[in-house]
Amino acid sequence: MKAPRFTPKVVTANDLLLGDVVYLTADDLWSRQHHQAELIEDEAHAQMRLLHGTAQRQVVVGAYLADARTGPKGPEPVHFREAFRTRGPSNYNHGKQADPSDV
Amino acid sequence: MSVIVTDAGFAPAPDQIFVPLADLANHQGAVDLAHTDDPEVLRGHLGNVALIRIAFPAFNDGRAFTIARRLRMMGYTGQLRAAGPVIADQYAMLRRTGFDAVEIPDDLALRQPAAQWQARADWRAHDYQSRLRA
Amino acid sequence: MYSYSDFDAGFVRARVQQFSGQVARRLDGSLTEDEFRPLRLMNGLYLQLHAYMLRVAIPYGTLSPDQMRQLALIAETWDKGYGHFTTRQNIQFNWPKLQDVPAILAALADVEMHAIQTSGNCVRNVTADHFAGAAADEIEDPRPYAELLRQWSTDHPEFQFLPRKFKIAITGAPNDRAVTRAHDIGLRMHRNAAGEAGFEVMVGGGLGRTPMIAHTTREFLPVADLLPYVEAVLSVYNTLGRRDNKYKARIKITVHETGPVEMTRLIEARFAELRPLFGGADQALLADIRSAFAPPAFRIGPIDAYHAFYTADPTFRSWADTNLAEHRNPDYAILTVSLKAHGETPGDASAAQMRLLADLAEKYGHSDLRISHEQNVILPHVHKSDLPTLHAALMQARLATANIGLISDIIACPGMDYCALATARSIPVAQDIALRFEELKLEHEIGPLKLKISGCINACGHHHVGHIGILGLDRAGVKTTRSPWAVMPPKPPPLVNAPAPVSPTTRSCPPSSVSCAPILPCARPLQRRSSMPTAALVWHPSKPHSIRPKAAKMPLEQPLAPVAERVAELNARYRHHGATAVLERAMTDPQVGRIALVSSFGAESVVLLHLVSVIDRSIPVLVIDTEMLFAETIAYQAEVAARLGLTNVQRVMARRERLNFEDPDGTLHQFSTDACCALRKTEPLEAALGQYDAWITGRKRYQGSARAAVDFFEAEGDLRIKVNPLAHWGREDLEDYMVNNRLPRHPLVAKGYASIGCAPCTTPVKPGEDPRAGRWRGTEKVECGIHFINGRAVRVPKETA
Repeated sequence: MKAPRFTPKVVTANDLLLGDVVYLTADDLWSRQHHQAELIEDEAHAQMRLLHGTAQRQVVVGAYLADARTGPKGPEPVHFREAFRTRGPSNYNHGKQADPSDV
Repeated sequence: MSVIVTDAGFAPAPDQIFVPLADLANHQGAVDLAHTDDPEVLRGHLGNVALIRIAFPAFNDGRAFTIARRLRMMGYTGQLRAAGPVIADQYAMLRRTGFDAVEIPDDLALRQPAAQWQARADWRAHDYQSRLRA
Repeated sequence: MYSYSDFDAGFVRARVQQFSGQVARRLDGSLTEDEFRPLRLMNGLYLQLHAYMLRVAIPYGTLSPDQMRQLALIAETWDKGYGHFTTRQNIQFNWPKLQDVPAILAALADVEMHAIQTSGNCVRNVTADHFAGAAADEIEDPRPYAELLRQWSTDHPEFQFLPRKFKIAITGAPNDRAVTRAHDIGLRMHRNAAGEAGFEVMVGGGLGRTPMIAHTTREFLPVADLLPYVEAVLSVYNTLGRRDNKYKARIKITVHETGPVEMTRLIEARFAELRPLFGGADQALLADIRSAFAPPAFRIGPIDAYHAFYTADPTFRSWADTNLAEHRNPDYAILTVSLKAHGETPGDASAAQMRLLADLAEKYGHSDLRISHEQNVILPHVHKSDLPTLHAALMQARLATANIGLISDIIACPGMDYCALATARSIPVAQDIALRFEELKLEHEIGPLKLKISGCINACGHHHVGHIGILGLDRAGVKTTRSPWAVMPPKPPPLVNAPAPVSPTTRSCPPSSVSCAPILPCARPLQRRSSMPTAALVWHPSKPHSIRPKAAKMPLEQPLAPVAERVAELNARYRHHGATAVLERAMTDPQVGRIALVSSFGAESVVLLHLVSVIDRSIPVLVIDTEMLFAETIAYQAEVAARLGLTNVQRVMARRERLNFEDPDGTLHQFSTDACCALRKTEPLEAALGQYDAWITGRKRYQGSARAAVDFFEAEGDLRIKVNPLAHWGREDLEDYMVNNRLPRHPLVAKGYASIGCAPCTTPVKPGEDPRAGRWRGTEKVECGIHFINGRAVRVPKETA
């Protein structure tokens, strides 16, 4: 039985060594940039990709599917938590936002 | 199949007949305890039991540590064995709470070979409890 | 202060080695992430939102200048130049890399520090009164006992895999500055009739999802019995604590479910077994430890300079008034250095600030530094004549903010700026509030006021124990970068009142001066109750109903056939009938029995209500009030009931005691929508339906794919028939019916809501979306769980629903 309607997703996780937020790309790499992620529109494919991400235990930790939508540069986060994860904390210019190429 | 871990390393698990606590009356020296069993039931039987095996359903369910401690407090001096997917990093904890040996599944023994367990065979060292309980 | 013995030093070094090995074994695959996680957690290493985070213990909040400098060095070498002091006397580094952590732990070991058991389901860093050894009201310095507990709990082999984390707090003064009653074990020193010092032991307190005040299990525990007694508590907890539900796993729930009397009995019985095992070695060790905490050699000298500055310099005076507390030596003061400069992150200190504090403590503070659970740094022993110089030095480093105990001295958790568990950001809220009150220049006039902010229900910001508590919530993933916030009433009553001490007799009573009106995170129940046009809604005590008076008053002449048989027969007979015929039959047939209508008064409910009202206006209409409904729904219920002339509308609610226990602050839905539905809908409805043989629902086939197979009549085990008169209606049929009968629409329909449930879990749906897509959006959940199998309400797995 399917959920009412599948909404597009990306696979995201944290890098095992650095802890940094990463996204699974269509060519099986982990990118630090959300817009390079593979936007998954099909539920069955999403499960496959999540399995693929989860299986890389020596590379990433805690892979999960996060809601996303199409944007001008590529996939954009939907939930504000995921938007925060693409940038960093609000109180210091640390995290991805400190390196503009990563935002 | 399973592997027995002691301070000496790995050994195959010997054939032995265990009875569950409910069947205590028919034991042949070896009793199985679940992690939810109350060891108090064994009081009065401890003298003629030679081996008690306590189950760890998962490595992060720590109830069996307390069961082992309580059995030792009750005066049990026979063999005490932990059984289940506990990890090598818990070996010192097991020994310190009164277990003599650990029975682990073969696949775990493969992933965490004997050297990783023997790294904690020094469980008597650096033990705060032994300093506080004299 | 305490200095490591060779044993301590050897232990910590060995531990660093072990952790290095564990990291290596994680990387080579010997340890899975599931196995590695508890190991890294018990060494203080978390994986947070943006990076790893290392939490370092500051046992009983005490630091030497060298230790503080080492923290600064760590911040610069392996982090981003700052550290965050937490509400449990820890410091957190937010940006370490996994492979650097062994080196950081080694650097900590160099200054007799560690990160052991700052996380994980074990006994955590033991916290103590931050004024220990200096406070005027102290019976005895609690830190030797805290150090003894640290050694006892460190690597305790029995208690590394408890049901949940375990926090101990200790105070040596009758005035509780350590929030002891909100801990798993609280220890409060007092004297017995014979004048001996001992502890009141309190067990089962805590904040988090289910805030509870600890119960006293022992009024007076001789100090020599401390370790065996605490071990007895842990031993009982390790056996009884729940492991089936992490939200019910803390000892407060064990005490609550076992009962304090029985719990006390079990603890005392276990204590009797354990006491003989402690033969005095612990007391010998305690004596050694105690000598290490001897008070410093207090200086004797004039304090005229202090009085002169106090009179002449208003800035100094204002700072002295708020940031100084009474020292046991009248020439001395306890200085609290605020880490709450307006607009800064509460609890953060840069490496430069840490070094300055270390230098100042060395020069003016007998080399003693403390970290308070209120996230400030304390110099506990400052000769008053040094205060003007100290103040000037602190001003240079933006550390002289005069706001201790005032509204801008905010306790805030890291929130969603860092924390992976958070549901909202708390730092920006704290920053905005502090800046606003600084702008108003009002906080000194307002006086002492504790404002606490938690970014999620886990309550790291202690939002239950302040004058004003703010809890950040995420309502159903609202698509906005501004997190919605709700002001929580302080409950349970505030426990601490430092720096203004509470007298022992009122220690668990709320400060009488301040309270705040609750604005609950759901549906504004206060406004709703008062504005509800009660005349239109007639609430009757639940009573069974049938429109056939005979059936209502006496048992049916003949027993009903089994439910499944009747359902099959009814479905066969009514296959080609319409909703009205089905309803008439359901409401009159003795084979159906006592019947009620269950309605949500949602987007389309009015259709069924109208159909029913035409047949019988006195049929019991059960409305589930989850107390999470939209205010619009409440108003609409009243309007519809009045319009249709329904005379027997009954409100079905969860029992207050159940709500207080399971969902005290109305946020259960954030953690488990299923558990929330079970508590607020399924259980109350199951209870209410107990007296009926059948119930009418508005379920339709077109709603949600899970409902595609809905029939007119369904069997619920062998107890009850579910009647779905609208099973075959389509969206247009409903629309037509509402238009043709001029029925009032739910006001939220016009705002884009196609299916309306509780406020937190309902969002508008877009045109073309499944109408129920707005319910539990972002989760896999599709059904509310009001389904019964074999007569019991059960949660139907998605695959079979």
